[in-house]
Amino acid sequence: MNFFPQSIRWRIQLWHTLLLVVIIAALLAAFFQNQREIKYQALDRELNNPITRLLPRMERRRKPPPRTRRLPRPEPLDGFDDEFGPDPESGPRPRRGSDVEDGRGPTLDEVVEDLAGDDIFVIQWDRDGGLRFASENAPEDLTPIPDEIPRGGERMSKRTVAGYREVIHTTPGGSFLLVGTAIAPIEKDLASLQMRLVGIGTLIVGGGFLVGWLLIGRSLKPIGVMSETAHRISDGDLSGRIEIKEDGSELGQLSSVLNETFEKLETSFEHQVRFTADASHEMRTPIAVILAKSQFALSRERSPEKYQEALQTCMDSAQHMRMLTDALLELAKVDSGEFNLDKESGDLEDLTRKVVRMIEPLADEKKIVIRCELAPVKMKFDTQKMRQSLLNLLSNAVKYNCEEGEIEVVLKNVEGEVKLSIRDTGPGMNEGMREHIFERFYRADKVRTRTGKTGTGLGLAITKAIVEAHGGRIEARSEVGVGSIFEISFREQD
Amino acid sequence: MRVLVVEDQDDLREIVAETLREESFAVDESADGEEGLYKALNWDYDIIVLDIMMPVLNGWEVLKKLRKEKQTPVLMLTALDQVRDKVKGLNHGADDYLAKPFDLAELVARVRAVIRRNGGEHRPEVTVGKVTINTTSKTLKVNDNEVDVTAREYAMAELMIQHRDEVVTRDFLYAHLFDENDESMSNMLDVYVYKLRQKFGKDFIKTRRGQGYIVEGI
Repeated sequence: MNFFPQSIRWRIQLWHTLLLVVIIAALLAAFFQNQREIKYQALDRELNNPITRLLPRMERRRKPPPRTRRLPRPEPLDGFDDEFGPDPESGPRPRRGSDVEDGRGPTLDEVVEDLAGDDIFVIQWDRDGGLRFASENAPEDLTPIPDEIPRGGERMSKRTVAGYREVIHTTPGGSFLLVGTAIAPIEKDLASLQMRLVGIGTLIVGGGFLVGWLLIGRSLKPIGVMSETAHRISDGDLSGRIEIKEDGSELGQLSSVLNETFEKLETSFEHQVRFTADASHEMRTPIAVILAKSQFALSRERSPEKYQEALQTCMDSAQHMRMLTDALLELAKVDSGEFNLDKESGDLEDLTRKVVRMIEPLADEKKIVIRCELAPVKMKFDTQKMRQSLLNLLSNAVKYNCEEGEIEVVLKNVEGEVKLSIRDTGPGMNEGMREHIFERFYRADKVRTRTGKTGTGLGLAITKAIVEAHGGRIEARSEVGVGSIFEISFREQD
Repeated sequence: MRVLVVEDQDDLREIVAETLREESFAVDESADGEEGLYKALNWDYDIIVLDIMMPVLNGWEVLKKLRKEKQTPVLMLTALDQVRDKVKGLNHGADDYLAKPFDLAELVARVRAVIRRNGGEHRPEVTVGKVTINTTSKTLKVNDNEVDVTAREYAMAELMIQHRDEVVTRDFLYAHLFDENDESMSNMLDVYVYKLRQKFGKDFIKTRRGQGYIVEGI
């Protein structure tokens, strides 16, 4: 089972949100902790204040009073006053004036009582743990002084116990002075702070989630468009293209690459469709003839001559089909890259002469004169295929020539370039025909198909493929009413 | 019934023409669209069998130009058999469509069906008086007894029955019964009229003097 979402958008969103939650939570927790500490420190200071004020007083009380009286020392009193006096937070102290006046000062109890305000309570134990004093607002269930607080020595320790924050001071004399206050108000403040922080955190995370969702959606949108386009194309609509908005981005580049691919795909698919349609069209005619002729012959009793004629027609059509399938197979090899040449060193002049000789009987039928002007050319070529292409060009020159016309075959080697041109005196082609002449199944001769056997319409396409496989070029030039020239050229090879 | 076959492939055109002749049609032939259009405009054919991929003028163009002047039924014959092409053919005013390669029997049946539909006749069997004609089996019956007729006699009977209750001129009969290669000898028509009267009764074909002939339906 895969519980993790498959969608990239959701994955990124999930990670992004997770990260945001962790960071925000950590930040807010740190901030909260900090706030908490600040509050407790302030509280501790508040609790400490009375102690610092009480301690000297307690010290004084610890000393035997007669000694104090015997050796009246105003300094400590002044010091005491200094301790108590300038305290703007504590507010006016009604007894202070009289203390000073009568020179005796307030008693500890009085001070303690004074200190123990509404919130703060004061408790004093003696060194053995016996309760010496507790202010009225001290909690009932007092937590005793823990043993681990060392007796004696001047120390201060803090604790939070049973809902109270307490500062315990060990006086040099060994008694303990505890100043405490309920932490409920602070905790209440902190709780509300916590609530607010959680709220803020949730808002930030929520906002982050939303912004992330939009941003991720925005940046992933091209992928969606791409996938949609690809879907359309795979469904058969090859004309679909991805709309590119940001050329510079990685997705924009990917889109343009994909668009180019789609373009090529569409073009080659169109070619394929047209080729298949043309091929099937070309196959249909001979099949139609065979079918119709045989059905006609068999529809009733016929004379032997009629049967013979029917069979002849069927045979002609079958032969035409064979030509067609051979040509199609050859082109299929060209298309699939299996068009292998068996190149050998040979004499192109010799081959050309042989082909001309082969074609002469055909030319004689139309009283066509073939003139040759052949220079010796040695080069590497596939004899069988080269013969096929020359035969093709020459038989075209005969087929599309006028009666008593002429054909000129010129083979020359000019500055390292082999040129073979075949010129006829046929009706020629106009520009529109010339452009398409090497296309498969294109026939410039639709007018003349009835004069003689029709070809496959693939001859020149195959000839071109053969020439190009030899690294050469083939060109057609033509002038209507004058004739056409087909010229093959090869760069001389080593 | 006179048919024009326009097809550039010689073998195929010849077979189609020959088959239709054997089915007692008068058949003219054209090897390209231009010639085909010329013939179609100048003679009244009962149907034109028209190829699409042709030199000079293709089937679509022939059909388009023909339809501007005439409503001669057209059966398109072609190697393109995608639905799109069929729809295009029918939308351009073709009456039927047949893809190559086809069965000759189907071609003949469709040619008959198109002619029949165009004559407003939807049944292959029609009875006029005591004479019944079946255009599918090409038979003529008198009171349920089949009568032997030659191809020409049948063609004439079919044409007359198709145009029953109409005065049919001699020119019309010539135009639809004989093709371009027949010698137009005026007495040939009288011979067929005489023979049909002999086989189906004197009242089967009546002469309207100075006008032509008529077969009266019931």
